[in-house]
Amino acid sequence: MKLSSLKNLAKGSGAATAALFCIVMTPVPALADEEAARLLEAEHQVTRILSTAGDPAFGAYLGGECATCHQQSGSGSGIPPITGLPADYTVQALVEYRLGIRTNEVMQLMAKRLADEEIAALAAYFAQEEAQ
Amino acid sequence: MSRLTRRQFGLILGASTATLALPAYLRAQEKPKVVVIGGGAGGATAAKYLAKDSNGALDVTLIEENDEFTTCFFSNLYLGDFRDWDSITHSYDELVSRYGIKKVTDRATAIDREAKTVSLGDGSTVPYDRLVVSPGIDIIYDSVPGYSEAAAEIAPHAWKAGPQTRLLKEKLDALEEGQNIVMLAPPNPYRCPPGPYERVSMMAHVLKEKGLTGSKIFVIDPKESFSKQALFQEGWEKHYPGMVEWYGPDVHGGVVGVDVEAGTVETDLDTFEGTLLNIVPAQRAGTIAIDAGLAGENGFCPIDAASMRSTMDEAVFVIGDASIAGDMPKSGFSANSQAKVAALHIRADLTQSQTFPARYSNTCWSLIETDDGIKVGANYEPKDGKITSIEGFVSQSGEDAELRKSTYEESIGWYEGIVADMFT
Ligand SMILES: Cc1cc2nc3c(=O)[nH]c(=O)nc-3n(C[C@H](O)[C@H](O)[C@H](O)COP(=O)(O)OP(=O)(O)OC[C@H]3O[C@@H](n4cnc5c(N)ncnc54)[C@H](O)[C@@H]3O)c2cc1C
Repeated sequence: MKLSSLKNLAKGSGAATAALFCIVMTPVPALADEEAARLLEAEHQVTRILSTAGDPAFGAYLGGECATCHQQSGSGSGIPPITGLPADYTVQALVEYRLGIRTNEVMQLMAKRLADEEIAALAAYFAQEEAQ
Repeated sequence: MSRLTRRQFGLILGASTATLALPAYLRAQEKPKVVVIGGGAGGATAAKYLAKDSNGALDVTLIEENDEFTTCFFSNLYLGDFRDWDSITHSYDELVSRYGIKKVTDRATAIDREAKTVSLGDGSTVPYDRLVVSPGIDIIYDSVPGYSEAAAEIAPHAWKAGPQTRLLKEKLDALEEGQNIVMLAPPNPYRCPPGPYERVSMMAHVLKEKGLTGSKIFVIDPKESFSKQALFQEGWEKHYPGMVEWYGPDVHGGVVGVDVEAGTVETDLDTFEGTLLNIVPAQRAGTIAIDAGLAGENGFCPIDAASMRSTMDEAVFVIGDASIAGDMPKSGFSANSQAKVAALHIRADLTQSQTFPARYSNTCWSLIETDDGIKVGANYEPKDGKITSIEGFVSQSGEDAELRKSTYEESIGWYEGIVADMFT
């Protein structure tokens, strides 16, 4: 995937909001309720995290773990680039992995142990990094 | 000198104009010195992160006996014709040109922990304030009766990437219909727990592609079970029916020895014959670590789980396969993860930079057949005096083809990512 298309994606209102909208319009009992609750929770968490200022220096340390798979050069196939992503996109994605809305096991594992301030720090760090 | 903080050091320098008048090459020598032994998954990563994150405040020397590094990871895919040799071989040039790391192409022959120096094959010595030891594993040839370094020229282990891997590939490619392979799998602990079984899959793939479906691969295992066993065995049944036979110790009763000239592996139960023998013996930390007294009785090096610092010497950090890393498997991913923790603590020791709590992670991908990838992973933290697994996952049996294909594609992304993280 190209970084530009990721950025466009990121500019949208977020997959979670869009999906939530659909579910609110056409309610299906039980499962959908659970799903809707998770998406709502994601929105809360994203808003909460985006309201804090992430520490990019802390993010640089934490980001070392990401660099094993996500190339800092911003290229990559099979595993998308993350360097230079807008902060709100990174926060949204990590929250969705943390809540199990996004399904990749490796990323779920990585995101589950991230506290809010760590997500904010990573998002701040990757937003300021230039692909080299 | 290593006892001074960087600020104190700067003040002393600043106080003496005579010192400032020193030629640049002499001043450069006054920086704290870090020496890294081994330019593999652990050592290359450590050298890069030390140099990169200290912004020139450290003098980093990487001692590696080879000119280039061929990764063991994806060497099975080379055997299976999924990768060519060049694509798994990497240069150290960018570590030198981009980060100012000094690459010394020589063998480290001894570590003098008292004097804090490393001796080289050419007779010279290199001083250090902090030392990173990442020599990988050495093969314990005599753990298999009848096997030796010379015997490995006939029956390769190929557990270090290089000429051994090429020899195995040549012998694999020369097989004809009905000729068999016997693999002797290693006992725990060894590098890359799924590695032998991915290799079996890749060898079976080559046989099948050439129509040699009458040939068999016998796997003689000293272990009762192995990593991702159900997934591998399911894959072998599906893709290579009747071609792979795995025997654990409850069946073969124990390995008596090998005869590489005769092409046999003798067990209590039976003698297995193969045109190609792939013998993977027991392993221990690289010799340099053992000679320096950094290893315990089991042949691997104890470390502090929070920092990767040797419990034998506070100026030394042991990372990668040579270390006793608790629940973490010996993998390239693990070594890369440990290197970053070690680099953080070395910078803190020498430049007073901040430390953060250690975190480690690992994922091992394996390829069973074209587009049929599986993975196992976990994250780890220091806990109860060792590196402890916190949470993990493993691929499930019967996953759909699309998921397996994307797992394989992810592994390609991981490979490109980790080699970029090590070398660029
Ligand atoms: C078949 C196979 C498949 C594998 N697949 C995977 C995989 O898919 N994923 C994964 O994560 N891991 C995999 N691994 C494991 C991985 O290769 C190792 O765990 C990893 O390389 C360990 O890193 P290290 O730094 O400890 O040692 P190494 O990467 O082996 O590096 C050690 C380096 O030190 C050098 N050296 C040693 N002693 C000296 C000395 N005295 N002086 C100078 N230089 C010295 C060596 O030449 C070598 O370059 C696989 C291994 C094998 C064998």
